[in-house]
Amino acid sequence: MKRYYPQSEKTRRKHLLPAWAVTPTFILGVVIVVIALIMAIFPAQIAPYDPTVVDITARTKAPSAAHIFGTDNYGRDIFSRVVWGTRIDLSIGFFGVLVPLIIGSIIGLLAAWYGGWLDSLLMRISEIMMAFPFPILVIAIITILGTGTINLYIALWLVGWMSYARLVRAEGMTLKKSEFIEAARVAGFSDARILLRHVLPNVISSSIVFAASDMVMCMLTGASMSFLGLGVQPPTPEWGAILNEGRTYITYASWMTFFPGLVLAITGVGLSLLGDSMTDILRRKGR
Amino acid sequence: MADIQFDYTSRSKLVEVKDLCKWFPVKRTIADSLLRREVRYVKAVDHVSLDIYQGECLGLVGESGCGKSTLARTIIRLYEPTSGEILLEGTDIAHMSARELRPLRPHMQMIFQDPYSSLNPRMSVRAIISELLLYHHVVPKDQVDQRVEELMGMCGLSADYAGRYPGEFSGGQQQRVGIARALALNPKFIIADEPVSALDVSIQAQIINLLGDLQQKLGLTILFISHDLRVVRHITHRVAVMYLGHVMELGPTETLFDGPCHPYTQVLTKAAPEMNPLKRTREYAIEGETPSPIHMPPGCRFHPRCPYCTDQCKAEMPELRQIAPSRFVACHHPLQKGAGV
Repeated sequence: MKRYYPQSEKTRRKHLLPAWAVTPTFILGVVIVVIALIMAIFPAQIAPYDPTVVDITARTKAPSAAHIFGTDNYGRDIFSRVVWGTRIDLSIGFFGVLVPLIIGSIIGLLAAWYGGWLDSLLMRISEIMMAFPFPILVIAIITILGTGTINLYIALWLVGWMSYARLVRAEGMTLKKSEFIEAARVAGFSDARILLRHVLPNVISSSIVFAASDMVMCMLTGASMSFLGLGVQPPTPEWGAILNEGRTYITYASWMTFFPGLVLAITGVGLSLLGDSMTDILRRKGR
Repeated sequence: MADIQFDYTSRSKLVEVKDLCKWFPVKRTIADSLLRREVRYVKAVDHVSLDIYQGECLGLVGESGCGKSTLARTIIRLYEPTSGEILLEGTDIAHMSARELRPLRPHMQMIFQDPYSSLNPRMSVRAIISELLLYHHVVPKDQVDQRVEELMGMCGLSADYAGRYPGEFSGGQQQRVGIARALALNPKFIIADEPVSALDVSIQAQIINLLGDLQQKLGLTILFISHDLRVVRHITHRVAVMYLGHVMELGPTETLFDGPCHPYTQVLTKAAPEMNPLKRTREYAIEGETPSPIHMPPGCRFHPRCPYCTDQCKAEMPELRQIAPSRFVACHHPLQKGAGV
């Protein structure tokens, strides 16, 4: 039989990540994401060349010791461009999810708490937007706003909040009736305080898990838009944009598309694995 | 406690409930609105009048669904009443806005039925209690921690547990935290909504005794809701019996249980299992189902199940009236045995 030892607050914090949670999936996910983060934070230290400097003498060189991913049609080092691109692509993934997470949670909380016509209105808007496929809607918004990095972000923010709003709303509706919320009302707390301090911390976890997997989706959408020439514009090194530039040379300089594509795919897989593990941890912990 | 005679003449009324109604509209379908059918209501609380005296423990009993909890939640203004008055020390709080209510909130607090779900799982005991103290400025900031520990001590919890989260406590301990939270704002009036029905019997006794002790020590006024008559008999001074949203009988605990005046009270008291198996009887087993609170029976709402029902009962709704000192009953034909007490 396991004996029970009373623990202080400090020692308990260590058990935030139990031993069973550290699976191969989790480790692989963490390793990939950490490497990607290092590339995003210290590109200048890692990249051997300037990502935008043109060198006509070194055009379309195959991978070698000097250029491990080869060079493109302007003689730019693909590896350096990919390293510098990490920052942009991870930012698209991160901020493209963070803002909708915040907006969606607020909308979901308001819908759940106040109910009635406000709930109906907000949920009908989200249903209308969910009826369109995600990339189509992003393309439509960018077409209206015009191409560019800022507009890509705006498009992602406008279409991303619905899932978060619905997740938070659904959990908020059940939580609203629980007795500790009644206790908070009996205590006379303001609505804002009840929503932010008592409801939100109890409903946000599933949204955060969803955000982890949504980041992949967002990053890939960002890369796709840039590939189509709608998002980040060349010569800025962004993976989708690099792929687009290499597209015409794919038959005789396949390294121009192969390596950026591979890095994009691995990063996506890494984020997915991490998101999956987080879902498992949360499910098994039973919140 | 119950064995001490409670003198009502010298006490003032802390809470007065006057003709209180809480009706919930029944959700209408589109067909209902198209056909212009009348909006129907669940009359969870229907014309209830009740005085709660300073320092008493008033029991509220009745079967499930009779409106006990709705009445409690309306009195404490978790619900907005449909009509009627709720006077807290003479101030009508029945239709106050949330903002107007805020300064009065500390006077009335509540202890909930499910000890686990009544505590925020993401907050430690210290956080739960100190939030209240800070929000309502009960004590100066530097004394908050000390006050939290004091409150925990009063409720039989070691101060070492202050950093723990609700999930790490047993049901009884969780309910102690719930009581400590209710006491944090120095309330005058506490509503205990079935505070022990989710607990083991052995723990029930501890919590009941704790509540009794705290009531005496702090001079609390308690509205104690329960469907467990043994518990009610043990802790309350007076009892109100509710049936289908209405108070049927009201009187001092001992005399009410020993000599019920209302046929429903009689049925209810006899339904409680007797400790001595030889004394158990089916004589008073109640017939039929509780009518729906949407379609109230005309006349006395207990008449379809009442063994003493007359034509008057079917037509006329009896008002709650005084039949003996401090005894009230809503019945046309109160049982004589009780009336003589």
